[in-house]
Amino acid sequence: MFRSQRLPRQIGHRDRFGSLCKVFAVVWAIILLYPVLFILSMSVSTGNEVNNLPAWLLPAHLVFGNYAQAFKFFAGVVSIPTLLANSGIVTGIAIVGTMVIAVLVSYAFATMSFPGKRIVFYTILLGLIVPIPVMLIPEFITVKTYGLIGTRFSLILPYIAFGLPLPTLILTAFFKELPKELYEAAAIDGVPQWKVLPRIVLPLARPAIATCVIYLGLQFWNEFSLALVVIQNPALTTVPLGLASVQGHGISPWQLVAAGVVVTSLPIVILFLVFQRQFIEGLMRGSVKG
Amino acid sequence: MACAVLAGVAVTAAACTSPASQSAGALNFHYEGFNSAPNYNTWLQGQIKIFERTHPKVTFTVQYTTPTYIVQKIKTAVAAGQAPDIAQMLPGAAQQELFAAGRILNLTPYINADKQWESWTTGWNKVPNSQYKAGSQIFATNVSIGPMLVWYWKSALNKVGWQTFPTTIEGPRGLLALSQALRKAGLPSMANGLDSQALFNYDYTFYTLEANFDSGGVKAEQAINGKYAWTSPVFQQAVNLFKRLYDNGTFYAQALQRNYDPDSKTDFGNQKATSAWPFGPWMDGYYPAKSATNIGVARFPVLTSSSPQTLTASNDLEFIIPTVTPEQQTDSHKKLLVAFLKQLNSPKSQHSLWSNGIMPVLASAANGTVGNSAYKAWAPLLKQQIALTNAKYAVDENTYGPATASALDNGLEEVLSGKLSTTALLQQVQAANKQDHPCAPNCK
Amino acid sequence: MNPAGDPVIVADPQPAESATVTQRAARRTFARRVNAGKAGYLYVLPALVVFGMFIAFPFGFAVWLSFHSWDGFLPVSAAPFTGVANYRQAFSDPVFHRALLDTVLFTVVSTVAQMVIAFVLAFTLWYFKLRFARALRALYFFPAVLSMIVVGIAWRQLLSAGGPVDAGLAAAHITAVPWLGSTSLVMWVIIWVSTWQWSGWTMILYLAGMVGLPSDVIEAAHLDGTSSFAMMKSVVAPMLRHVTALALLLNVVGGFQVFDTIYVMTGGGPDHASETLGTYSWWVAFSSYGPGQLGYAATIAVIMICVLFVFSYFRIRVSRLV
Repeated sequence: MFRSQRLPRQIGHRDRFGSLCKVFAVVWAIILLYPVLFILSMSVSTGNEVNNLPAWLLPAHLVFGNYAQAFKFFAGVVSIPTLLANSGIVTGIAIVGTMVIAVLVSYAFATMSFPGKRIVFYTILLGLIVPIPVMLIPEFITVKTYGLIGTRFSLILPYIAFGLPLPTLILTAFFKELPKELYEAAAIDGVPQWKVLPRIVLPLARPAIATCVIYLGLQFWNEFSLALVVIQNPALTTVPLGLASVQGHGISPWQLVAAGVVVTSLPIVILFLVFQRQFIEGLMRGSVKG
Repeated sequence: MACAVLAGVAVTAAACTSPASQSAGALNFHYEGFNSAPNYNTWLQGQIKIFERTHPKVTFTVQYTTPTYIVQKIKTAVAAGQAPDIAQMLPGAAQQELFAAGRILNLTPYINADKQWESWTTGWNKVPNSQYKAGSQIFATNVSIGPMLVWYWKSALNKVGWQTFPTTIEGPRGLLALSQALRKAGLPSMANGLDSQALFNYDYTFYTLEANFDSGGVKAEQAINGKYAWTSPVFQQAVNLFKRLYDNGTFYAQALQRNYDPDSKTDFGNQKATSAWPFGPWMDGYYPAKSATNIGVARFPVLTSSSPQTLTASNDLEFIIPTVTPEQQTDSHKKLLVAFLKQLNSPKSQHSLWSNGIMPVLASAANGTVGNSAYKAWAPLLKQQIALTNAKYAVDENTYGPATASALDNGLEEVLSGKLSTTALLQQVQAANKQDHPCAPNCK
Repeated sequence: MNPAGDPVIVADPQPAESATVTQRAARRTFARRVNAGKAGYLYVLPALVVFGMFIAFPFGFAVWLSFHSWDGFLPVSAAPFTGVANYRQAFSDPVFHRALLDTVLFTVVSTVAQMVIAFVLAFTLWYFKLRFARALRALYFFPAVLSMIVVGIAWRQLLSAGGPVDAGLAAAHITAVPWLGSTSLVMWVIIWVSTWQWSGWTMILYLAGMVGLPSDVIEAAHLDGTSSFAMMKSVVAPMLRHVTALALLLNVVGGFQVFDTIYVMTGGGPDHASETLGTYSWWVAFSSYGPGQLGYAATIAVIMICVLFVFSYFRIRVSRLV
């Protein structure tokens, strides 16, 4: 908020545009909330009403027992705790792997120069352009060729590859913005070159890293297409796959599916809520500076 | 710092171990299916347990996906030289292609050599040939049938003076008349989600209507295979009848925009439709148990009382055995899985299906009580559907061809919305048929 | 006590690092002095390895495949070489043209819509004193957190005939609209859903940029009596060119790649009316009608990636994001 307390109030000046903006902000907030409330409302509806909710979204009977029932219902196919654990493990390891590699690469781009640097940079960015669903068969054959089918790495390693570009972009810009005094001070203190990154630069990069972690977390947690074809062992099913699998032929109790959606979305929502401040600060200090 | 390392090691270890451990000589079969409904799952797991008991070194891993995705999943796997050991598939072109390419097992020699198994396949004549056969060769076992039937609310029909669903389209007590009466009373008509990416958009309705002019849909099957002209009067009459029904308001408002799944199902359940088509035994248990007594089932009406009686059906549960990997091509592997398929056709297994509220292909197994309490209320309805299926009707050859079916489906939508004439549609379909069979319509 | 109340802290303002020309030059010189040659490769190696294994290799395979015809059943080594036949097919395929046009339409419209909405929202949160600004900020971003499949299903249910939206229309005596069933409407509905989900993401980018703006310039303009509209248009927007460039890049790339939402809502239908390059490639590969033409599907994918690459390359060069 830029307004300093010392600015005089402009009396008699009606800011029509300002009012428009505020109205729009409120309207947009309602529009955003509506489908979310819809899902929540489906998750507490009875089987009769779940497909027949009125425009104001409140069912006549609230059934909170759907959540307990959902656990049982999912357990017949893949239990919710299993789904959460699998997604957690895959997402967690993939995030760590991506961040380690991205930090190394970004630091090199930002502070070093070597022949072919530009080519390498654009090469990494190419990962941003290649979408997974369209490359499904080549990707599957690739993963199979490396013998990874049946392990969690069949997902983790491709995720790392696809997750690299944006963190690289953000971190490269971030490292570039660090003042040179930092490096000079380190040199004076006698810190060897290879220790500069972990000891000095990294602790400062926390907000940028938080941004990348949230971005990657969203991408990996919600990824479906690759998981669909690559997961052969039901015990390794991730959340999106599990949500799809319970919609059996002919019988889809939407109220239970909705409850499952709410439960399995919670981890990522909580992650976001907790880290949103660092997320924004990371972006601020990252590549969005003028 | 050390904690992070330890955590990292532990987590990586978790990533490396795959949960299923195997002892020497043990065989694990990977099952992929798209029907994860609780009652179906109960039946399947029961059958697996029986098989595992009688074959000690065998275990099954069951993996479910959805009807929408299973074809993609299997095709991707096959492209990479991999496949599940046994799969529950949807009837459609995918299986025909897999069989033509030699990727799934030909079951014919096994069934022919086993008199007992052969005797258990009597109900298979209710399933359109192309859904489990290529010519005379069988590539899939039928375990359950899905006859296409009309479901209707008895109370709604009673309101306008009908006790049972019409058996004819024309006539004073026919479907056209019923639709008029419902409209006068301000009641909705038949749910028919025509806008569906899945099986049900136009095929079943078209072939059912077409059978009025072509008993058993023989000419339709010929036309699909390029042996009969699509522009023939038979199909003109069928398309015109479809349009007539549509213009008459037989299908409820926005039928063209409604999807079969979930729209038709939920609309019928909420009584936003007085009847629904094509429904069948797979809908049993979908609605609250107390509604079962108010629901009636009937075959789709024929044009007049002298029109040929035809049943449009499909298999509901069918299984294939892929033979993609070297392991899957060994005789021992095939023998074991074939034995499992045979077990699924056995009277005991079929009775277990019935017991879980699913329609068995072996009609004689549908006796006794429905054990699964969630489906007890549906037993009378299920019995009715079995009776309707097993009466003496010719079975419509309903196939899912390539470009032809696509041209037909999309074209029918345009005819119904008045953008295309019948003649133009059939010419388009003929042209598409030529893409599939360059010798059409004179193929041998 | 200030009658205007205490300023609402939307994001903690940071002292702007005014990078003057000389300082930037100094940094560059310094960088070159830090490290040169071989050691740089060590840092870059893991990224290259992972990229090579899981992106370059499959992409190369897809390119190879685009010159062949493959049904996916026989081993890939048996796939016959067909030269540029697949590319020729793409150029004469009306559905491909439609998919390409729809992809461009979707990308352009949703990018513009998202960026405008995002900018206005960010400006509103930042410039005007709004209660619950922090909560609103989280709320605006929230849909991006949801899985695209969940969003697609939720909107499909909402817009289904007889669903809550139609019920609302009925209450207002407006005839129901076939949102997803009309070939002319469906693409717009998809654009809407995508805008709904992703505007908050771009908004956060803009917000971050705005908070980092030098406050003296803003205050000066405000004291000059600049209207808020002029402030937004003539003062703030130009200063955020770099954010716009980044947002443009990300949105266009994301727009071109759209798949999950469409697949879940319409599957590319009705009658290919909501087909984009991504969904069309999928349909060609897996369509249950007819044997899969995996070579052709790969061709579509390769074309799509090449178009995007050209766009991204020039975008990055032009705005010197590197």
